[in-house]
Amino acid sequence: MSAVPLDTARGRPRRRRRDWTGLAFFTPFLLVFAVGVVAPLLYASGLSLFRDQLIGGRSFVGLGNYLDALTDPRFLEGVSRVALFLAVQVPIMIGLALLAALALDSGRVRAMKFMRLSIFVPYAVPSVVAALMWGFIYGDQFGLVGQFNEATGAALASPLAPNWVLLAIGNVVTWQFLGYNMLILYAALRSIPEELYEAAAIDGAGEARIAWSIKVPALKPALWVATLFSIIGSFQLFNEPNVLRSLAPASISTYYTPNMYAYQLAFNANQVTYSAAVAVLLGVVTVVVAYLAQWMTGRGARR
Amino acid sequence: MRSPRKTLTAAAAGCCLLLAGCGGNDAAETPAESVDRSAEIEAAMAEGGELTLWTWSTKFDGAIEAFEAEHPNIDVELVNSGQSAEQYTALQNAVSAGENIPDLAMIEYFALPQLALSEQLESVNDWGLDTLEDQFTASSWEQMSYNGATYGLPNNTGPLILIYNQEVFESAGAEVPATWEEFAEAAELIKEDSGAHITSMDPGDAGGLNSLIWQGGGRPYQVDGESVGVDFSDESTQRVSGYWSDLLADDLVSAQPGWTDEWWRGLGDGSLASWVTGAWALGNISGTLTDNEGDFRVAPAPVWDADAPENAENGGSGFSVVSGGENTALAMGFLEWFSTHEASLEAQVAGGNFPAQTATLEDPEYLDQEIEYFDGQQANQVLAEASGLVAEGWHYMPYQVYANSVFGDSVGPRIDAPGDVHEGLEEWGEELRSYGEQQGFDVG
Amino acid sequence: MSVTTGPRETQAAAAPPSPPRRRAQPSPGRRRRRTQVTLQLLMALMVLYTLLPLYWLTVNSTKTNGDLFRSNGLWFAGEFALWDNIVTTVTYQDGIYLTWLFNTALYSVVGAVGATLICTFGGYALARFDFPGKRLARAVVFGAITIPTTALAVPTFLLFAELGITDTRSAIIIPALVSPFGLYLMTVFAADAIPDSLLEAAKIDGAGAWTTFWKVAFRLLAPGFATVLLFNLVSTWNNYFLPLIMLSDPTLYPLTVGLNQLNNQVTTGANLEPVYNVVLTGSLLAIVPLIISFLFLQRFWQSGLAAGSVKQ
Repeated sequence: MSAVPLDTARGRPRRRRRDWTGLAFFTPFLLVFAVGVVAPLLYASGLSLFRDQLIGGRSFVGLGNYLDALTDPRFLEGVSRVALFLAVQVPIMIGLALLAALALDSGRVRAMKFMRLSIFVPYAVPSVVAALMWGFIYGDQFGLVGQFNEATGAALASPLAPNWVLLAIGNVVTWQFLGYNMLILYAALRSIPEELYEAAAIDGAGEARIAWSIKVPALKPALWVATLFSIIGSFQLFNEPNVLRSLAPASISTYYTPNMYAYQLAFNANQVTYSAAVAVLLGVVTVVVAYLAQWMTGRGARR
Repeated sequence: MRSPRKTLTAAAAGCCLLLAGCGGNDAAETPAESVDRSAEIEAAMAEGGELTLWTWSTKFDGAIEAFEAEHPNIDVELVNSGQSAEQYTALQNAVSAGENIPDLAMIEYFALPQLALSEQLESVNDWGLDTLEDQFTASSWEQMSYNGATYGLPNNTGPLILIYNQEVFESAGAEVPATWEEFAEAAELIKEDSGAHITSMDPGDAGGLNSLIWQGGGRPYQVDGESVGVDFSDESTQRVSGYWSDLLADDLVSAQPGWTDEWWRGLGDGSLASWVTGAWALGNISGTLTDNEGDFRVAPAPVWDADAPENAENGGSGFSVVSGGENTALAMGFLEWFSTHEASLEAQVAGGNFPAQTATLEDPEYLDQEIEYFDGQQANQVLAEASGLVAEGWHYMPYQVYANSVFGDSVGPRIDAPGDVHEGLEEWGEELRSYGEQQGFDVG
Repeated sequence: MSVTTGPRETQAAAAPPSPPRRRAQPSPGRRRRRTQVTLQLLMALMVLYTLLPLYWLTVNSTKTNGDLFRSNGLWFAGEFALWDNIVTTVTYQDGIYLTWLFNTALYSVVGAVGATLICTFGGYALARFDFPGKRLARAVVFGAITIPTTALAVPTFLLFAELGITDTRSAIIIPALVSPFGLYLMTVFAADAIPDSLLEAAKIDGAGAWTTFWKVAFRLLAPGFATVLLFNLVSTWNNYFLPLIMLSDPTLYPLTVGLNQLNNQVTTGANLEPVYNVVLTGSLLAIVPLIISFLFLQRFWQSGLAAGSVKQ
């Protein structure tokens, strides 16, 4: 085994020698990756082993910050909130996107191009602008919610009230990314080989059955990508709650999401090193959840 | 293996990243001595140069123009680096990085102790400007001072006043309330008459509740060098929190966050009948609710004891010279002119500023001015009177910026729900004590 | 999946539904019509949902501040002030809005073009060459796709503060140059789109690696390049958290940070003049360029999205 070069053993073209050309092409990426990802993480990890005080300055505390964070009710509250968000918002959004994609793919919808584009357009709206806009709309006195209440005599609660605000944020996120996910799924639907449909048609399968037993399974990889990005997005949650906070200070705390907590610690609480620990932990949690999700879907696919 | 260790050394060496390690251990406990450096300042003014001034307010453009007209050799650039907490964060970053440090910055009174403690501001005692003390109101001067030195000159103050919608009060048959008791009565009348709330309490605004506590005689924050105390349990504070808890519970006061689109509309259409606020607010309301000209009047804020009225301040700020700026002498020269020169004060008042300078507050021309927006009312009289009643002895904490930022976490939900505001204050106090300990203060 | 490249899929997307599927419907006509109506209704509702806020923004950008506080949010007010609002927006505070727009464009273009070029080099290398440490690099970089960029923001700020480069344009552009997902996409594209035979031919012709890349590989990678470019363009255009913490000089702000600061100033009453109209009109102007570029570059978008999801 060791006497035979690996490449030829695998029957790959011999031409692909190990040489420096590839490395040269890869170097620019390595450089920015080192500066933009590796170095900050290493530096933050280093910082996170210290503690800052307004009086007394900086001292070494080892893993103290991590131990603190793991029992910090605020950090844990933020993490469980984004976990809840993920468990509710992501399935709803992906479900709606799937419905829309299937509807488009059925070829039975008029003005298809217009609809496809309209649903996709919010993706072009920066989340700050989206949150500003929805913030105005959510007003229960003079916003659209208030106007709706006045016109219909209904008594819809303010979407910014403590019990509803997570849904209100979820709505903004869904609004922004529904079309994006729809297009991913739609594109995947378009690439399902025609023969599969023909076979199903010969078997006499109805449209709904075709959708369920042919289209959805074929969408698995695309669904996976959409879900992965949504998971990462959920853990990143910052822009929308941060913008809406000025409208709902009692509903959105300074530690509403882990990212907001890291921001608060670093920029208002003079706890930079603790903030670094929170950021590192958050990164670890996200990676773990993403891989867990991948592992679970992978297992499902094998079954 | 090499890189992690290197990172650690770098982290340890790069100590003063933000405030860290620059603690105010050596802050003077005894009153700082005044040093006369007027010759140095004059020389710098004669030589001229460029100054950068951070403020998020647009009330000072006129005064800057006046300054530049009189000192053509000096350029002053106004920079907006975010409002309030955002600006203090930016300032902290600039000072610790040693780059892009502004020469001067507008600093709110509540933030001054924190910035002074972390040595971001120059003391005016070191430049002899403390001799100007008698030109400012006593309470504003006190609030620009920390541990015996003064870190800048006061500019504007916010004695509590009541801006009310004349028509809404009249239609409900409610008198303009002189005491908080009458205020509660008026609230009921107004609620019955039009269903309107007499005012709203902002669940995110620590400054508003702080000023109400101050006015009610509470002094929850105690500071002495490195020891701090936070205690909301005294009777005066409880009276204030209990009063507002009741109004909120009876739905006589709403819990809308201030300054939002919704809130402005509420003030504009009368569903919020009044606004308990600082004197600086006159310009804000007249500039925003332009369609409501003539609807509002200004009155002194209700007090607890009509026989011995005491007032407090909501907000207010001064200007400070920032440590590490390139031309401290020139900045001090500008600060003096900007804060005391007649032309500057005139332009500031015209810009809508409510001054901390006694000269303006006693100027008949200023006091007698009839303000069109308030239907010709001589509103400045009310403001000056409110300013004269401000009770002394109030201090902010050396980490008040942080304290205010987490107000919404503990007190906010109790205002919004509504529940027991006092319970919220106790929770807030608990949080502030543990933060103080964590930051190395001696918490009593 | 086989080696379908982007544009071919777009053609597929544009093709009419295939006849066998239609003919094979066993259900009676009425049921078909009901399905059709349901689907149509469903889509109409979704379009309403996505367009309503944009409609709201457009309508309210035409109002004066006074009308904004008085009028119905869903319809125009008496005075049509869109042009006035645009003028106010671009001249507000000595034209700070245009500075922000310029900054956003600069960060997006330099960041996105730079990042995409770097990803193209990198993807080409990973797909077409062997080099020492390749497997490790591949594992680490693709693992990094799952690290949320905002979780990196605070660490990046801390490092940059130590280096003294916060509050500079580089502080925004350097992090924007890293795109692990873009690299992944380009690797997939490069593996599919460049036949070995062409590279071989170029080599026989005596072309150097650099020439081969530009003359042969890059042309074949163009659709992928456009896709990744658009991806990166959107993410830098929308970036908020990083510039928020990196920058304190307002002349360096991108639109997102500037607009939110402006909104905060309205809501804290620091200004005498309320500038809701500037916030709203500024928001509208901020999204128009991206929407237009979406319209023109549709085919790239759609094919690119497909490539990212289908080719596992």
